[in-house]
Amino acid sequence: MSSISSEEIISILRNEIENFEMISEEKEVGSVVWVGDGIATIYGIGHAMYGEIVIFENGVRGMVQDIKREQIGCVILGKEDEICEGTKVTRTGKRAGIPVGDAYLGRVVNALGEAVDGKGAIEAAEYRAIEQEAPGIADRQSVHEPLETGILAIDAMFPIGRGQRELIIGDRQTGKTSIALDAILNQRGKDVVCIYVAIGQKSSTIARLVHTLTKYDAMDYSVVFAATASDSASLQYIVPYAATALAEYFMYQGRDVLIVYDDLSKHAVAYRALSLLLERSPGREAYPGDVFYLHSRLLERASRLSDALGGGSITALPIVETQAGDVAAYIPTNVISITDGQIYLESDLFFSGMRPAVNVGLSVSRVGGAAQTKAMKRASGTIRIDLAQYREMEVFAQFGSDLDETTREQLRHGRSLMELLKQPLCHPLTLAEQVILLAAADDRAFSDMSAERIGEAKEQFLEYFAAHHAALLDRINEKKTLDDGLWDEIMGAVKTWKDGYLHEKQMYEK
Amino acid sequence: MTQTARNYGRVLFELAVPREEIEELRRMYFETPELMLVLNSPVVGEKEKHAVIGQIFHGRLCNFMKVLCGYQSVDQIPDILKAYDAYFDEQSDTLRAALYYVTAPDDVQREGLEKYLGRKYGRREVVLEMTRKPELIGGFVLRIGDIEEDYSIRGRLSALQQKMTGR
Repeated sequence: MSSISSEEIISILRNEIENFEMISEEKEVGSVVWVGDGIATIYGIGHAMYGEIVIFENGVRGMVQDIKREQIGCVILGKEDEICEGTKVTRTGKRAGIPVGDAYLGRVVNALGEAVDGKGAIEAAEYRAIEQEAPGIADRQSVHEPLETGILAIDAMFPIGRGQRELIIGDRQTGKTSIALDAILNQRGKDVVCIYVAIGQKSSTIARLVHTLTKYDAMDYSVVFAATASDSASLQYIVPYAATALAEYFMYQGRDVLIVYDDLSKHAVAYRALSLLLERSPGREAYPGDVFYLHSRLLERASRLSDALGGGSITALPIVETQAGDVAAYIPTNVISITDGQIYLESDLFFSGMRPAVNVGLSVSRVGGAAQTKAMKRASGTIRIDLAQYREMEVFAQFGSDLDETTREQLRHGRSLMELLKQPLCHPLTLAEQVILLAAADDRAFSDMSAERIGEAKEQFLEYFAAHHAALLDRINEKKTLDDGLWDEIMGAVKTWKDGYLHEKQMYEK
Repeated sequence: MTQTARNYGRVLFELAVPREEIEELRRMYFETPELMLVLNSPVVGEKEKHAVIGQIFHGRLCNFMKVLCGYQSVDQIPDILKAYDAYFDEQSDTLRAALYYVTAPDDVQREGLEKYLGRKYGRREVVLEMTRKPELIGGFVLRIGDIEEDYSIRGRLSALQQKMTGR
């Protein structure tokens, strides 16, 4: 930053003051009668609208959330220390909004769109209301383009399309955030804007996430919205809406956006706190009656716009934390019913070493094949059925060893698939890598290896292809389809690898 | 203020109870809380309450108070009086405004202000309630209900501050 001398600063200030024109206009004012827990009750400002921003005497803003006959309840979007009984409140006539613009890319901001990463103010292109109506029916088109997460288990079996809403659900410590993070890392160079919304998380967790994003050069196309656990419930409540307003700014420019809400259970808790303080009646699990609408109106804003509107999209990956695997709790069932599918993560799988701990049976993507490239569709073929059969068979296999050859073959194949689906953190796979892995699995290339060796063999397999068949990989990535010629070529390469490398290393158990 | 209080306030006006009696009621309510405690108490019988009311109030106000007692709405008297005042002003085409000042306006200035307000809000009478507020530094502030017109130095300074700090 260039240095400015004190004389210059003073002259700027003098200029500002000289040019300051006082416009005395009518203002509607009220006064605070009660304040506490981030909520203020105001007497007066009788014409305030729901969701309007009001300004307290000390400059702090509030948002009107409750309109009664004689008084207005509003949430305080800032520090409430200096607000006391009798503090004057002025209407602004504006609904809550945040500044938006391209300059937000690469920044960490709070719920009000103010920078919190110490890199200075952010230049805004425009101002958008945080609560926007979702695109209508005519404004949308169906989801048809995949958004690759780089995670084999997801891209092969539960593909996510651009404009889809796919819930990531699971207990604590099952790798929910990691899946979302991997999905963000995989968007590098694909012209997708990624927005990560942290709701009620520890600052240290967010700092670690930002560090990871920076380390893998993902901050250039990402924005992190942070409402930490120390922020007030009102800020935690508005942050996903504010982040979506920024996402819509990019979407209406025709760009694709991936937005991760981490997590909506904490968001519901923040809203519950607000609602109880605003004296709204508690319902099931003490959540207010409109907690479904809270999330449905947020997630409904994810969409794939029609070509007439630029064809941009917002893909939403909401995260919900369950308690002891209880997906039948209030918030999980709500969000499951709102989204177009869910990725269900399980603690048991996670601790048995299956990472990502995706439960193949309970996870689903309701958009399905429409959001898969032809290449992936062909390569993934029967993987879901194979795995389902494997799980069924596995239970029986525990009881007796007297199995016929077909069953044993199915078990071996299933086990190798499970091993192949394991993937370390921050190692997204490209489309071509996923396709050749699936093709090799389809060819039973890994079936007769012991489970412990598959991981190593997989690494070698990918290295071999990168070294000897780079052109083939490029072609798959480019064409995104698999004709018979290409398929045969892959199969040939797989066979060569299998014969050459594996015999040499004598990895076969036989 | 509840709708009940508004209704009672309106009735009180339409009963054409003399203004002095209303003021007397207002004074009594705030100066003798014991009386209102008795009238509001569910333990005291209706007969006794009516006897007390009969001795204190006269004419229409007496009946009004008896009705209030019957419906256990005596505790709403402050709101009823407020509603009465508002309705009274409305019916007599009067605007009530508050003026906060540092230096008191002279008669000409005051008349000018009253004329300005009367014209702006379309009322015949304007009642200015004057309060001296030295913390305004200079100028004055007009307040009509929730609407405030700030012509004070303090208002200007805070507007300037908000502009400079961008909040």
